[in-house]
Amino acid sequence: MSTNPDESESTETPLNVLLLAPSVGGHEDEVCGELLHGPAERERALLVTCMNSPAERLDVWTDHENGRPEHATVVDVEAAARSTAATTATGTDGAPNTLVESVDSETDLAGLGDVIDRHLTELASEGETAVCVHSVSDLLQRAEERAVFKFLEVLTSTVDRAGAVAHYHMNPDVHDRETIETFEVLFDSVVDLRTANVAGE
Amino acid sequence: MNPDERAGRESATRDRSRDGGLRGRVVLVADRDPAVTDELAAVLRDRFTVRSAYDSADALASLDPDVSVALLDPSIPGLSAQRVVDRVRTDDADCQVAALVDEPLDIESTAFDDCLVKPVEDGHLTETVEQLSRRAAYRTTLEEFYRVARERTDASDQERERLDRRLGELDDSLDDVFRTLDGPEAYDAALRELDADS
Repeated sequence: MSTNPDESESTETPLNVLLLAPSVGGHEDEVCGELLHGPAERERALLVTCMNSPAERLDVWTDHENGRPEHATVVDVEAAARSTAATTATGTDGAPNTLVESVDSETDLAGLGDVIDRHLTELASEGETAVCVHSVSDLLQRAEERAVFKFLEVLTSTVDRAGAVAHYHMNPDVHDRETIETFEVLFDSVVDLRTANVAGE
Repeated sequence: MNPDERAGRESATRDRSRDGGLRGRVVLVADRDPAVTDELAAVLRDRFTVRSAYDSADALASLDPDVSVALLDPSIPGLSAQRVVDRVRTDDADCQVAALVDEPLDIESTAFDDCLVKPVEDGHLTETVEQLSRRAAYRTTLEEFYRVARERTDASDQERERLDRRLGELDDSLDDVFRTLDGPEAYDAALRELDADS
């Protein structure tokens, strides 16, 4: 390695963060919003959603105190699996510069990666971009662990190369310890809301 | 086995830094025309360790885990896509396969990773094999990265230290190869499952 990011960038924001958010409590949405905006108030977001509707994910991003972002792109992975009621709510509240791309249910992880890559490249060319992947747990419903692991290694590398920051939701309640520890290896940092907020709500 | 393979292997396997570790990678060439096989092999021998095969039995026998890239003519009798894929996609072997063809193929609908339309220009040949070789390296390194990450979860503290070091090395190797791939190439190299039925 020609550079040593561990030492030279130790005070900077980690690029790829695993967000372990349990089913109940832990202020998942607030933390998600904080990670997306960061101290620099990023104005571009790429939101990948599986079980939540695009509108739900956009709410997390736009509810932030400083108003609407300039640009958000949603990659909607499981549109077909959700009720039509949830899907039709998408974009009706008129967020400007919001683009939703639904990914065909036949699309495999490599195809999903291509779609994400295209949007990431486009957003990142215009300015600092934040990425939210919601969620690793849902992806694990869709494909086997080995494939999801490899997919995320490529995705974290593309985020790194694009100069973006990203976080990846994972529900620790629905996976065994081995699976969580295996995935932790892929990330620069792990935020565990089970321990960060024991009081919960 | 070619004599140059044995000579090349010693110096090459240790020399990861130069050329992204391409030197010493083993390429198998098998065209239905022995003269074409020899021509392609001669061009590639400058940069790779090359094996030549002149029939399907020879080609399949040469497809061991050391082979990173195979250039195969699907019109050789007995060299069906199914048999090739069975040989190259096992747990401990992973090889990228390009078809040597007379007409361009729609790669997405075949079991091949790439195709080379004959006659193949020297520069294009070398470039294609280099790229396939990097993809093979990315794929095999990523597979090991996953295996070690998984193994680490059940390791003792002492083993964990060793495995953490190994993960660090693999991560560096992945970064090195990733630099030479664009996003879609990396996803494809990491995840594409060859479907010999289609």
